[in-house]
Amino acid sequence: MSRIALLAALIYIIFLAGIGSLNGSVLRLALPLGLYLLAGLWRGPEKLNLSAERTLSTEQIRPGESITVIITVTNHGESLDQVSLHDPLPDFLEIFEGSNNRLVRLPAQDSLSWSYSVRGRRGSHTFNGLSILAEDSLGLVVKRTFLPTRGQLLVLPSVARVRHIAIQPRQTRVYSGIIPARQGGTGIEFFGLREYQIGDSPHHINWRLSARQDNLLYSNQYEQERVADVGIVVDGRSRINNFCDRSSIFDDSVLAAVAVSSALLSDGNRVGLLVYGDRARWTSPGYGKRQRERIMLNLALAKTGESQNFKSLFIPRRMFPTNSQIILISPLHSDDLPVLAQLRVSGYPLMVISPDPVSFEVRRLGNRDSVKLAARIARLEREIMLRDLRGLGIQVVNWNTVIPFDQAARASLSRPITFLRAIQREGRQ
Amino acid sequence: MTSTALSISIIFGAGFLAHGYNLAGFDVFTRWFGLLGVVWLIAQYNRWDWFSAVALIINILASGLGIWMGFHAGWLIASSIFSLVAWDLSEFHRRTRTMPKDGLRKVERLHIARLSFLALAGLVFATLLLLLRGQFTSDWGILLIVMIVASLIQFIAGLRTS
Repeated sequence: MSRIALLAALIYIIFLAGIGSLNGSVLRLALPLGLYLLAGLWRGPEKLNLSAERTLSTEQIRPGESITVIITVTNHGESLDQVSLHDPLPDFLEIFEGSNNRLVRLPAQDSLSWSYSVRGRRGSHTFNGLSILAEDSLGLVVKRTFLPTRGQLLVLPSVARVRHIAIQPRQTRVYSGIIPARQGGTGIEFFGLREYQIGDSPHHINWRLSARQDNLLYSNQYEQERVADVGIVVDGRSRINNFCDRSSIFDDSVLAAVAVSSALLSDGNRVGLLVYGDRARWTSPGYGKRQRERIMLNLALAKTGESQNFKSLFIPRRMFPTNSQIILISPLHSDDLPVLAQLRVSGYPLMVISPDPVSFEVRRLGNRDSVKLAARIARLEREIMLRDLRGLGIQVVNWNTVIPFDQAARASLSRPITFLRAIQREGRQ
Repeated sequence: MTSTALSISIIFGAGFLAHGYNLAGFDVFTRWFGLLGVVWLIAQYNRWDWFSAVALIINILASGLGIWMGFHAGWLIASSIFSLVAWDLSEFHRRTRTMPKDGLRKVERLHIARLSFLALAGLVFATLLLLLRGQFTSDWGILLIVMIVASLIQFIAGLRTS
C-alpha cells in the first residue's frame, strides 16, 4: 500500500466516523494528516530533467583488480529535495570501495559527482544507466526515471602460466617452431642418416659410420621443428558444468583454456578457439599476441548454457584444418565417447583436458558416508570412461581442480605422451 | 540523528495517547498504549518496518475514539501528530539505512526540519482548539514551548543547510 493511499484511507475513515457519529470534534483529527498530505503534494517533483555521465578508470581488468566508476548527475530542471540514485551492478561484480547508491538533494542547475570501486569475477558488463527516484521531502510523491549512460567493463579470466604444452600433430605448418615435424632437416633431435651431399656441413658428417664404409660419407639428419595448427574446444554445457548448489566447474575449464592457448601461442603455433554453451563463440585461428587478446576476450564472455544444438558434445571438424591438433577442455559425460571416437577415427590427434567434476562436487557435499559411496561409484564410472578414451589413442588429462593447473600441466603435458608412457612403463617394471 | 528523532517521536506518540486516556481515568488503556510504544520501539530496533504503519493506524483510531468520547483533545491530537512523524521517520530511516553518509546529512536535516515545522503547525492548531474549549493547561504550555524551541532550531538548521 502506498503512503499516500494509507493517509487518504485514514482521513476517509476519520471523516466517516465524524459524520456517522454526528460528532464534529472527531474531524479535527484529520487536520494534521491533511496538512501532512498537502505539504507532500505541494513540494512534489513535477518533471525530471536530469542527465548523467559515467567514466570508467579502465575498461579491462583481471580478477582481483579494481576499477573506479565516476558518475556525474546534472539537474537541468527545478530543485529536487530527495533524489535516490542507484547504479545497478551484475552479480559477478562486488563493491570494493564506496557505494553504487546515493540519496541526495539536487538543487536546480547543480551537478553531483561521486565514485565507487568495483572488482569481480570473469565476465562482461555493459552499464546501461542509472535508476533515479525523485521524491518530495516527505517521500509521498515519487517520480522514477532511468538515465542512460554508456560504459563497458570486461573482467578477463585468471591466467595460469604454463611454459610448454607438448603436442604431436600429424601435420605441421611450414614455419619453424618447436614441434617435431617428423621430417629430416635442420633441428636438434637426431632423426636419421643419409648419404653425404655437397653443401652438407662437415659438422653433420657421421664419421663413425663413414669410417666403416668404402668411399662413402654419411650425414646425420635432424628432425625439423615447426609450428602447428591447434584447435581448442571449451565445453560450456550447463548440465555437465553446473551443480545443484549453483557452483560451476566452468571457470576451471576457462582457466585451463587460457593457460593452454597462451602456452601454444607463445610457442608460435596457430591457435583457434571454440567455446559453446549458451551459444557458440568462435575465434578463428591466428598467431601471436593479438590472437591471445582475442582468445582472452572470448573466454571472458564465455557462459554456460543449454542449447538444443549443443545437447551432445559438439566439435565441428570443418572449423579446424585437417590433421590439426584438437584440445578439448570438458568435464566430460559418458555420452561424449562416440563423438570423440568418431573424431579420432577421422585422423585428428586429440587431447582431452578434463576438470574432474566428481572431486569438485564431493568437496561441496561434505564427508557423509552416502556421499563417499556415491563419489566412489561416480569415480569408477569416470575411470572407465577415461580408460576407454585412452584406449582410442586420446591423450587424457584428468585434472583435479584442487591442484593448480600449472602443476597439473607440468606433470602431464610438458612432455610428449610417448615419453610419459615410457616413464610409466619403466616405473611399473 | 534520524534514529534519535524517531525514538523521541515514538515515545511522544504513545506517551501522549496513554496520558490522554489516563486523564480520563482509563488506566487499563493507559498501560496498553504504553506497551504499544514499547513494542514500537522494539520493532524499530529489530527493523520490522511494517509495524510503524500498524502502530499509526492504531494510534489514529484510538485518538479518534478518545476525542469522540470527549477526552482531552489536545493530548490525543498531539499523539496522532507524533505518530505520523514517527511513521514518516521510520520509512525515511528504512531508506537511508543502506545509503552512504556522503550528502545524506543534508537530506536528513532538511527532512527533519520540514517535519518539525509540520508538527509545530499541528500543535499550534491543537493549542487554538484547547484555548477555544478552555482546556489549556500549564503542562500543555510547557510542551508547546519545548516544541517551538526544538522546531525553530531544526528549521533554522535546515534553512542554513539548504
